[in-house]
Amino acid sequence: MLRNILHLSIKEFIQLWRDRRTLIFLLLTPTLLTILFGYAVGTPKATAIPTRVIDLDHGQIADEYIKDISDNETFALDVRRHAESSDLEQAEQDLKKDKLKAIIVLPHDLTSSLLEGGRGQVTGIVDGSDTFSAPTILRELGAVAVKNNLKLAAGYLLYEGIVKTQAQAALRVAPVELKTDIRYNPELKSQNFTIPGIIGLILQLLTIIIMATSIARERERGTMEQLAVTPLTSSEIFIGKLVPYFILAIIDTINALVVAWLLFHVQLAGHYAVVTVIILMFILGSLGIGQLISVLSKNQNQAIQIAIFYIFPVVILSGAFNPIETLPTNVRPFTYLFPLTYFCRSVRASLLREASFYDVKYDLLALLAFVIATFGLSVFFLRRQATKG
Amino acid sequence: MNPSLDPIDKSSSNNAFVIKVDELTRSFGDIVAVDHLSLRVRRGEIFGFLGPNGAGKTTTIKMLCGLLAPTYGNGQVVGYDLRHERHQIKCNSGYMAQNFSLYPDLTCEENFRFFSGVYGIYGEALRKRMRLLFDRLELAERSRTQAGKLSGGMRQRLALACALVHSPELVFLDEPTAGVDPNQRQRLWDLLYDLCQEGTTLFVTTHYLDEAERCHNVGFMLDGHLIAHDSPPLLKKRLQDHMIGIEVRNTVPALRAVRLLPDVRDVTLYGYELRVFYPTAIDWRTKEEILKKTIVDAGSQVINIYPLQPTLEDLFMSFTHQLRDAQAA
Repeated sequence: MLRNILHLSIKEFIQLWRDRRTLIFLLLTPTLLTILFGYAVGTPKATAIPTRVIDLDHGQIADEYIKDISDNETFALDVRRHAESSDLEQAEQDLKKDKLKAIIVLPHDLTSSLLEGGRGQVTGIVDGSDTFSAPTILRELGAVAVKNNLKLAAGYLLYEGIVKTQAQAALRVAPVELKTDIRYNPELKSQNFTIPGIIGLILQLLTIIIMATSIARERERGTMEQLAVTPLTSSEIFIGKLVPYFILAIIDTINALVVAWLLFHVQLAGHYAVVTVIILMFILGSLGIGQLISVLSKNQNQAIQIAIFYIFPVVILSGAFNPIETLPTNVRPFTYLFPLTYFCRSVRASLLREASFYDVKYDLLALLAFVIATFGLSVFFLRRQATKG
Repeated sequence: MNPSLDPIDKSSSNNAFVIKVDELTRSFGDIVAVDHLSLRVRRGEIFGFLGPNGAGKTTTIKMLCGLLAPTYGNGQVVGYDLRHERHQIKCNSGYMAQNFSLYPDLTCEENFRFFSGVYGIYGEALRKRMRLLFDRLELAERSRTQAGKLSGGMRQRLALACALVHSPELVFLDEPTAGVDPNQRQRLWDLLYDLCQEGTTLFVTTHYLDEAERCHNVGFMLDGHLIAHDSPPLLKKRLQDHMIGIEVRNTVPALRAVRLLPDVRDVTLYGYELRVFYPTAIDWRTKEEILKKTIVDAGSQVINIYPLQPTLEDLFMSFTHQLRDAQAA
């Protein structure tokens, strides 16, 4: 049994070695993609949004407001002081042409109406077609408005002589302070979230595609028929073909983790044993899915098509890039269909929160179920095909 | 000492039949691919297995080499039970597939080593076997060439070497000469005769009926049934006096006219020769008159008329016609 498996694996290794291009592709892709995606995919956070400020007020309040906005790095400001209404029209044109994402209008009566004891109004014009930036703009505009109002209120208290010092004024206008305490990823470094997802996704892609063609290729070349008449059993064929790619996937994982550590300082902070077991189970489960696809395909083309059909929803639904919480609730049950979901969740838990085996037990059980199901079904179908004709 | 390809003597070798099956049946759903097939193949003979595509040949071979369990019937192949000892059957028989089914990216030697290991042959035994077979099959010079880069004939010989790696008593060859040039075909058949001389039984399917004539015995399969099973001369005897040859001048009108004669089953054209086939045995002289008259009436000319020796091809066609007639009825 063992000797037969080893024998098949050696054959598979020789073939892989002959196919140098594929081998290099398999060894380099995960590392390169980890580097690329590590830089490219952060948690969605928009900065330097092109924004124009139209100052029609030319007054002191407007100056204060502009200063407060300038402090916020969300906006790349283009301030038009001493602006006319034609400047506003021009800005609206630019918004339409997508040169701007937002316009902040400081009206001509801003300073004067405040001095008369009235209420001033600042208008924010936001491009709603960009659903990604718009919420950020609105949130940051709100923050600027609050900050500006507090400052004005504090200035008023000082001016009226109700308080003596700046500190007292601040206490009056904002008596309750919000203190935040960010745990597990205090710097909110996006790579801590995305890198496990990226590595998982790359591994998923690679293992499924490479495995999906393995048995399909033998079938296409007619060598499967030749193997079937030998005393080799279906499980020996199954495992023998899996072993080389299992080893390859482990090498790839190590490469990717080293890159993650060197470039993005993402470390396996958690229990090494937990992370290792999760990774191994995930690789086995992914290879299992690939094998199952392969067993059920007539040729390599078909196998690749099924593999892509499977992988595509994985990218969106597994939570590799975006948390599952961002998905609509009626879609969430589908996320349980992919081993990557469990991988991402448990690896993040152990990387960032130092989760123990007990903490990730459901994820591990789910991965184990994938391994058992895919291995069992593959061998079952292989055996049935061999005796079906 | 002359190196021999003789298989290792096995316990079953005192048995005269390598294949001995009775009432073998295999159905897929409602379709009966092989219907109550009984067959005996003697040790050391070349058995030709013939029949049109879809007749059930492949299914039969799959059952015989232990791939497929029969739905009904039983038997023994290389001395092992067809139902319960399929693993042993696989260990003691070889199979050379119709299409090249070795690894094109592995060298001859690697392919051989792989299949050798699959049968549990390693080390010195492997090296000895490889040297022997590669010498015999003239592969030694190309042992480090990748199989995909070999010529067609060379590939067939490598496939044969890999099928013989474990010295099987019985080798199944599924259309071994398909797509191989006549020269290579001749060489392969010489090798097959050598093998059978040394006691290996060969079970060969082919569509080349001249090759079938080289077999010791042939079986005809049609529609899931083995409808004939005998040596080629005996089989051909069945068709004796069924055929008349006529050399004519103007072939096509003659062909059309003769075809319309009521008791003629079929007429085929070979150059200037019309081959007239009758469903029953006849004395050719009794037909001479009517044939000549028909041909002359059709505006053609008879040059010569004589009885014909049937070939296996004629037999094949005749069997196929029988089936067609039976289906029409």
